[in-house]
Order: sequence, then structure tokens, then C-alpha cells
Amino acid sequence: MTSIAILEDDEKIRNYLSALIAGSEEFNLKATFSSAEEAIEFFEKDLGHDIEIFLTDIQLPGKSGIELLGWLKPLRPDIQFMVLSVYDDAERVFKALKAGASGYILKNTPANKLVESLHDLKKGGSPMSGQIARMVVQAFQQDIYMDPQANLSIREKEVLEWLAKGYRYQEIADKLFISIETVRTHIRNIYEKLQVRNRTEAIRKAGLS
Amino acid sequence: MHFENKNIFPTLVFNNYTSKDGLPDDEFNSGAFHKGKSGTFYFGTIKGLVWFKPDKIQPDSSIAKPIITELLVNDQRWDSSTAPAYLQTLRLSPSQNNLFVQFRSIEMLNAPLVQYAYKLEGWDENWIYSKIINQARYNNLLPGSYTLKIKAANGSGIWSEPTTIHIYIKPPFRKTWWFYTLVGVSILALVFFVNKWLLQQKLKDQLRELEKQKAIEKERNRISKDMHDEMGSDLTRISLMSELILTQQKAEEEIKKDVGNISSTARKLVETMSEIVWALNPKNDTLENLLAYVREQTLNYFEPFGNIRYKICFPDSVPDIKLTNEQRRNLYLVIKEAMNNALKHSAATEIHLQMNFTNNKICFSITDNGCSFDVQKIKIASNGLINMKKRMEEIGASFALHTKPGQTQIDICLLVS
Repeated sequence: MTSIAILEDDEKIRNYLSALIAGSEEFNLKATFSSAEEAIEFFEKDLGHDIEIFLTDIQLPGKSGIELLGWLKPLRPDIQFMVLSVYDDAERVFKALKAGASGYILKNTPANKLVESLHDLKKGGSPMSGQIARMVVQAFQQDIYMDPQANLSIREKEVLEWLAKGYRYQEIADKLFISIETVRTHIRNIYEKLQVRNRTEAIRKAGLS
Repeated sequence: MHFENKNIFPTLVFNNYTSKDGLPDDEFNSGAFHKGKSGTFYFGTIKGLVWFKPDKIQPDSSIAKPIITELLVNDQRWDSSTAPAYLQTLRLSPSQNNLFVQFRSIEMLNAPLVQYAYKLEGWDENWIYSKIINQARYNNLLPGSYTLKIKAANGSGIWSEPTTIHIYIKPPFRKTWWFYTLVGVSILALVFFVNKWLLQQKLKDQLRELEKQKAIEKERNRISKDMHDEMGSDLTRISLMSELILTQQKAEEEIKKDVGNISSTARKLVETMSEIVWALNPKNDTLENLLAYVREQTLNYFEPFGNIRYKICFPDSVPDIKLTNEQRRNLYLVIKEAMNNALKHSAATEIHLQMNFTNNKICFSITDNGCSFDVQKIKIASNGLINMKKRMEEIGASFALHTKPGQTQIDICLLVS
């Protein structure tokens, strides 16, 4: 059983998600929060050691989901964060990814698919749409860092380019003669590099000001 | 006395010799003359005999240059600190073009026999032999550079060196080189400024257009944001809540059916709105983005129909072409509709979506291997086809339907600049 926490301000949706997760046999709902502050309080009390997946909304009253990520990811790097978005809210999702999310899911995703996505995330797969891929490409084009951890490998670039054109994981795997698992690994690594860059940038900005 | 043959008409010249020239006396006895066989003349004066051979007598060989005694410009005495006699150069304005010059030889001896000639180089072609008239007049001289030369001849017909005076009449302002330069520069400047002004107007227009576009973009952003934030989340709630009811076992079947309808309608609405938001967002205004979106959306769409082979053939790279939101939305919707037709009405097992870009034309073609339908019937009946046509007309794109047994093909082409 994988332990899960949910942060969603809308009570109805929170209940729906709770019911959905409770109904599945692989997930164990450990905590639900209605605000980022509530979640911060929870983790500050050193609770939820076994939480592996954190499902969070982005737009919240008070602190945003992105702010929470920025705070919680360094504290709990073992947690996989999944962002909930209304729909192709690419800009906000992208910010969340930079802050530490490994995946995102649209709120109107059918129930079975939502559970499936959580499974994928647990296995190490991260979803990336074409729109997000295009933003990632742009982000990596802006600056070249000395740190190889902050720059994309040729393979990663290739994966991104196909994603940006709207290709699916399976199609990309076929095109590059690799397995779909390898495509997922590449995407996970791209997300991590994106986060490295985001931290480097934050440090640089802090140093300048 | 002798003849001078310097001119066309010979001139009779008398040379007078007196006691100053070496004669014993100026008074001769009448009748006391003789011409010898050798041509020698013999004359008797009251103080002795004089004889000479005429061809041995050289006429007076020197005469001084004449001097200018009076200089009138436009009938006014030329006002200068230098006396006219010493004037070497005369600079005149374009209007000072009437000249009167009086000159005189300083030859005292036989002064009445002195003759004059003058020439205004640059004006006269030949010397003017004015004989005893010692003045010259020139009227309405044109601007330019002249040299007035005056010479005098003594009684022996010997001409002096000419006295020269340079006369320079300035060209009027409008004829000077710098006037031409000024006019040229002025014309160039005018052309430059007019050009600049026009360019500025054009820039202003462009700026205005740009501002307008920016305002439109801003508005599009606002609308898409509002739709996204306000309506999107509410619709999502409807869809999720109805789904929640569906999962509750205790609900009645009849209610479940209705709620199921609510759920699917809300889901469809969210999808439609997602498409509108995509079309509205100015960030998506490129052909590349359209292709990626079409690929993603149609793949999602076909996923549930596992038994249909669906092939997308887009070029790996396309030029950076801007498309308006209207163009993108209409192209996308027509492609979607065409695919929907193929999927639902033709019982096709294979659907191909292709895109080509040649000669500035974006061409999509959707081909399926389903049973083709009667075009005439379809034209009247199918709202879908009429809609597709209308949508393509709206953005100035062409729409063509080709059917033959076992194949239906829809071609849409949009010419872009």
C-alpha cells in the first residue's frame, strides 16, 4: 500500500478524490488538507513519515501549491509530488514542476485514469504533455550552466523535441529505438534538471539582490 | 611717308622729322630738292643740305602703352582707391555690366597722330581699331571673366604693348556653383525629410497596429484566464461531483443515468473550453503549435478506438509561421470534424492525417478507407460538411471532398504569407 496525502481546497473535490483513493486497493489515504498552511503545520510536527505521494492543487487560498512545494520538496525529497490542475494550465503547471513536482494531472481526468496516473508516478513515470515540453525546451534554451546536472543530454533533448511536437511516449520509444520505460526515465531526469536549474537560479537571484 | 600693309586697307603714314631728329634746320628752301639716280633724296635747308635714302630711314620704333584715364561702371565713375591707370583687376557684380573706358597714349610727340585699338577678350573676337577715338563702351556684359586690352600706335604705325585690365563679372547668385550646390542639397534634404516623415508616419501606423494587436492579445489573455479560472473550475466540479454520485451504489439507476449525462456533458464542455482557451492564448499562435496540438488531441481522441489504425504524417520541422487564433481554431475544428466523420459514419479501419507545406500553403488531408457516401446527398444533409466548408471560408481556406469507392479524402488548404 502506498501512502498518499491530498491538498485540495474545494471540499467536494477533496471528498471525491478521497473516495476515489479510498476505493482503490493500492493506495492508503493518510492525510487531507484544505490549505497549504494546514499541510505545513502537519509536516512541521514531523508527521507523515510514510507518505510517498502528495497530490496537490495549485490554486489555493493563502499560500499556493507552488509555494508549498518549494518548502516541502527540500524537506521531504522522498515524496513524489503530483499537481492537480483544472486543465491545460501550462504556465502554472510548469512553475510547479520547477518547484519540485514530478507530475501533474488534470482534474477532469476520468476516475480510472487518475488512479492509473498515480500508479505511473509511483513506478517512476512522469507525465509530460507537448505544451509542457515546449516550455521546458524554452527554459533550457535560456541559459547554459557549467553544471552538467543543469544541462540536458542529447537523448533528453531528442525526447523533449518529440514530446513538443505532440508525440506519445510509445511513439518516441519506437522512433529512438528505446523502451517506453527509458523514455519515462529521461523525462524524470529532465524534471530533476529543471529543478536543479530552478534552485541555481534562485540562489543566483538571491546572491544578486 | 610710306604705306603700311599690316591691315587689309593700306594706311598712308606720314613720318615727320624735325631739327629734333637731327636736321640742320626746320626751314627748307623752296624748290631745293632732287632725287638722285640711286634713290637718294636731296633737300636744301636754310642752314645746309640734307640727303637721305628713304629706305634707310627707320620709323620711330617705340611707343609707350596707353593708360586708362577714365573708368565708368554703369555711367558712374569707378570708386576705387587705385587710380584707373593702375587698376589691374576689376571685380564687378552681375548688375555692374555697363563699362565705359577712356584711355590715352602718353606719347607727346605727334600726339594727334596716335591711333588706338582695343579688344575685350572673352567678348570681342577681333581688335577694334578705333583710330583716334580713345574710348570704348561695353553694354550688358554677361557674367564672366574678361581681359580688356588697349594698345596705341604712333605716327609711324608702330603699336605699343597692350595695356591690360582683367574684368571679372560675378555670376548672379542663382548661377554660382554654390547656389547649385545649395539647391541640390536643399532638394536632397527635402527628399530626405519627406522620406523620414513618411517613414515616421508608417512607423506610427505600425506602432498603432502593434498596440492594437497587443491590446487584442491582452484581451485574449484575459478572456482565456477568466474562462479558465472561473468557468473551468466550476465545470470541473460539476463533472467530478456527478461522477461521485455515479460511484455511490445506493443511488437509483434512473438518477444514475441522468447524472451520467450531466457528467459526460460537463466533461465535453470542459474539453470544448480547453480548446477555446488553447485557441485564445496568443502563445499558441504558430503552425508548429497547431500541429503539436492536433497530434496530441487526435491521439487522445483515437485512443479508445483500438481497432482503428490511425496514422499522422506531419513534417518533422515546419517554418516559423504565425497563425491567428481564428485560423488555428477553425483548422483544428475542421480536422477534428473530418476525423469524427471518418470514425463515426464511414466504418473505416484506417485513417490518415497528413500535412504538407509547399508554396506558402498549409495543406491538411484526411483520408480514410471507409465506405464513401453519396456526395449529393451529403451536401444537403450533412451539417458537418456545411460547417466545415463555412469554417474554411471564414479564414479564406479551401475545402475539397474527394470520394471514390473505398476512400474518402478531405483536403483543406490555407495560403499564408
